[in-house]
Amino acid sequence: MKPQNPPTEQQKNGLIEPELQHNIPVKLHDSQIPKNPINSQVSASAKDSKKSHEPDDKILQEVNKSVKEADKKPAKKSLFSFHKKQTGSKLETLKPEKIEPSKAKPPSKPVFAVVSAVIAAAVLSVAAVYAFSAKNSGAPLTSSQQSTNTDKVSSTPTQSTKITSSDLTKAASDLNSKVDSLNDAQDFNANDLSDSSLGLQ
Amino acid sequence: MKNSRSLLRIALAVFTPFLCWGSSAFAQTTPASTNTLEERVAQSKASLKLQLSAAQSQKISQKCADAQSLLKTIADKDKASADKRQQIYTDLSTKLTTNIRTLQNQNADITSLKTAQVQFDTAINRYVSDAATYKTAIDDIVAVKCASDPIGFQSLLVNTRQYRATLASDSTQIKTTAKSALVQALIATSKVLDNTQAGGSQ
Repeated sequence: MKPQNPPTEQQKNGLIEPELQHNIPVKLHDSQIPKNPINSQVSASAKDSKKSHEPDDKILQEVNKSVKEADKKPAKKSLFSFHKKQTGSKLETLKPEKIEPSKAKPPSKPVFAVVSAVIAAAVLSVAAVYAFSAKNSGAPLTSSQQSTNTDKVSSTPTQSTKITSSDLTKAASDLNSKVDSLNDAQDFNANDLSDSSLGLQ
Repeated sequence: MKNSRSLLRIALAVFTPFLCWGSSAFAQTTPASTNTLEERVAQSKASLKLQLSAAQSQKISQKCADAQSLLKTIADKDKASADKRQQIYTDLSTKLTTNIRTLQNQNADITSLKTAQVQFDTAINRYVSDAATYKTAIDDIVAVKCASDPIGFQSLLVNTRQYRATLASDSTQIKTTAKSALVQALIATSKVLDNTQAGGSQ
């Protein structure tokens, strides 16, 4: 049994550190052995470390393949993944084949400015139309907020009964009496505002 | 970017006329600023350009406070009579409108009535507008600091007298229109209805 390593600082803090397993027995296919330059490289590196860099290109290609395979099957631990870790520096220099550019562009500032200007102009136009229509709406407002514009609908609903000539005669009489009840001489006596009445003389 | 610029140009070309038109309409809607008492006093002084001697100014400064008390009483009385008068005018106009609509539904000839109604309502609207002007003037003369501004007080008093006289004229016009044009139109329409009913019964 392999003795367990003492807990590290990270483990004490709750972080899990991946454990490197060495000497994992991996069953290789016969076809892989001759095609695997890494193996041959590993086996040859110990013998001749002063070899040229020609196998490096092959190594890069194989590492690429291994990266792809690792992407497809990330759970499997193979010799390639082990070697992936060993050749981490080379992997870092590798770039993914495709980087899909972000299609969503942020909204440009000029478009936002144009849209806000259009909205502001529309709001101002509506306010202008409303002000103009309010100006031309007709009779002035009274203290009781009533007007006597002939185009306005009266507050009293239209009578469904017919009007006879006697009704009109009665309406004329009623009109006369109500108008006569208003005492203009009393309400608008000019003497009320004279200097003598106000004590200004 | 080019599309944004062209869109902005189009928006400006479409909305600029509305903005110009609206600003002119708004300027017409809101007349020269006379919202405060001081502004109205200044406007009254500028329009009348009264000149008072030193003696006159001193007399007004001494006696205007009592005058303002009396004016306050007159203002309250005028307000009550104006409200009552306005209510009567409104009722008369509303009843007339109802009768005209009913007669219209009966296919009666309402030409003379509508003409008289237009005259009647025009006279009432003129009175209503002048009544508001008079009310503002008499409220201003009650509120103005007359001791320190005798010319302002005197200018407002002159204006108030003018507006009161205008109100009297407006009321007379309403009475004349009601008695002559409107009553006559009602009687004429009633005769037409009589003839129509008589012709129908025969």
